[in-house]
Amino acid sequence: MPQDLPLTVKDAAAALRSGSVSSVQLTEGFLNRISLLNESLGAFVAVTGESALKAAQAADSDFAAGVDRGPLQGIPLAVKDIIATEDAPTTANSRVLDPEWGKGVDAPVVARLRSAGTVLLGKTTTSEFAIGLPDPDKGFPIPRNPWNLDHTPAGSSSGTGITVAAGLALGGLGTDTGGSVRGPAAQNGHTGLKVTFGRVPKNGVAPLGYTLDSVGPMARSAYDCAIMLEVMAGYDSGDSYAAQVPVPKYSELLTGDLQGLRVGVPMPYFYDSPEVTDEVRTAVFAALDVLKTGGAEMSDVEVPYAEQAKNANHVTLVAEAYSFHRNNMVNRWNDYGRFTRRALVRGAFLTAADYTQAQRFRSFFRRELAQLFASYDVLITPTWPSPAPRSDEMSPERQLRSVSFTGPWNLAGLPALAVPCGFSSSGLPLSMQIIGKPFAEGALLAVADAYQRQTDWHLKVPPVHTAVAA
Amino acid sequence: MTPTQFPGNRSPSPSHKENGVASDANAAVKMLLETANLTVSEEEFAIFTESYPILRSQADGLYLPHLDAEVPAVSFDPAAE
Repeated sequence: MPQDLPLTVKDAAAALRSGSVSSVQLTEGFLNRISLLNESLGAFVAVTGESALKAAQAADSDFAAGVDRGPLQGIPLAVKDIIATEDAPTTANSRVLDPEWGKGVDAPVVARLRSAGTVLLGKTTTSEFAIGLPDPDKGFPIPRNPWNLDHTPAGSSSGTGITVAAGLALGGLGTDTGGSVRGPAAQNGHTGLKVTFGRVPKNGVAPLGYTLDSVGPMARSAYDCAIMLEVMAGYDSGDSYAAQVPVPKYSELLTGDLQGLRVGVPMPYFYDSPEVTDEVRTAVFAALDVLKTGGAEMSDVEVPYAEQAKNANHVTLVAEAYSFHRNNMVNRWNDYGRFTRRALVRGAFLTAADYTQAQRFRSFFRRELAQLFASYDVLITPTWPSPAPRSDEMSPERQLRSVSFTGPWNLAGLPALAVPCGFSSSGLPLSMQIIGKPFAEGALLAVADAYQRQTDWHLKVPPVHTAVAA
Repeated sequence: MTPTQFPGNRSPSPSHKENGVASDANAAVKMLLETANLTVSEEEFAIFTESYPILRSQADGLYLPHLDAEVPAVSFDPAAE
């Protein structure tokens, strides 16, 4: 079994094609790491070792027969446990979700990954129904940040975030309604893409906010996210929100060229909030300098009504989520995790007019952003205002009071990418966020890839990983 | 946590009597929970009463005067099957 498993999909794909490693060896290596680390990290709810090894054997057989389905063939990945997979139950980390939900079927995005020859290792922990915080009384694994086990790995795609950072898989699926791909990517120290609303089909995914939810790739590098998105993206008739927009070959757009790139840097709210730590600001400014050296042009801009956009996203999210959960909350209040019900109940505290007004604000905000993006190719902000807080300091009420640099882009449906850009003095990852025009995922990935050619923050591994490798 | 059938019926604490905003929140949360048929613990009721004014303020802040001409960002295809 290889002790030094590849860090990236790109390296693993090259190793598989050179014959220096087989997919079965890779899969056994990652399954071994999961068996050693999952109890302390709480990354996986279910490990599907048997079906993973079968998929790995099939991938190796294909390689031997000269069949190459593309760069994901034989690559071990993980799937957030609100996405249906045929070989494992979907729990949404909840005692409430019907055990029959999604049973025996793959969500279209999962089916696409399987068709590309991937090896799915299992289902990863999520905040219950992708909202709230872990409740230790409910019997699901408690996810922990691999850089410091006392700190949060963020949510809701906690398990996939931990998995990528700790080297338990080469990538995975997350979902993002207000920051649930980007938060874990930021606080675990890797790359994560919130796609344009409708870019990736979300049927077969337990809903949170119907008009906000998206499924996105999480991996160490922008290149790896690009490879995954090429397979994941595209229309599916089963998702009434799916977009009929052609899917580019994202990896071919990653040229490393930043010349003439117009970057808007929105200082108000995103940089000058009292919640933004000096270390975060300094790290993102340093990242901007790297891009500037590469030829990007920086301009100070203002995102109008950013705070209201965060609030409109929250109103939309809890109203839509509450409509899905209302009957169960009446009858099974205590079956929900204590933090989940504290977040979901907010939907009962809002009026129909509040929800409608949030959608009127959304029309306005989208138009304002369209005008802004007429002059800029991307905006860049911190992904999160601080490094990961201690888990015991987290609460839904703290989240309600806090700024959000991720939620506004869900409201507008825009793509946004979390990219590692440094570490705090306490050894926790820091991240910048690159936001773009609708369906401009390629542009975001190209900027991040150019940055990652000059830096290696995305390749840093937490101590827990190296301890196992040794 | 001890489940309470009608948590809002308990007497307001002294600090609530001195604080009109908190009393309003107490009454509003009690009414909203009863309307929604939700039974919560006393601890949860206290948390909701404290955070409700923040949520209310955030929602109220969306009623901006210059949005008067905006239509909601909701649409559907009447011909879709």
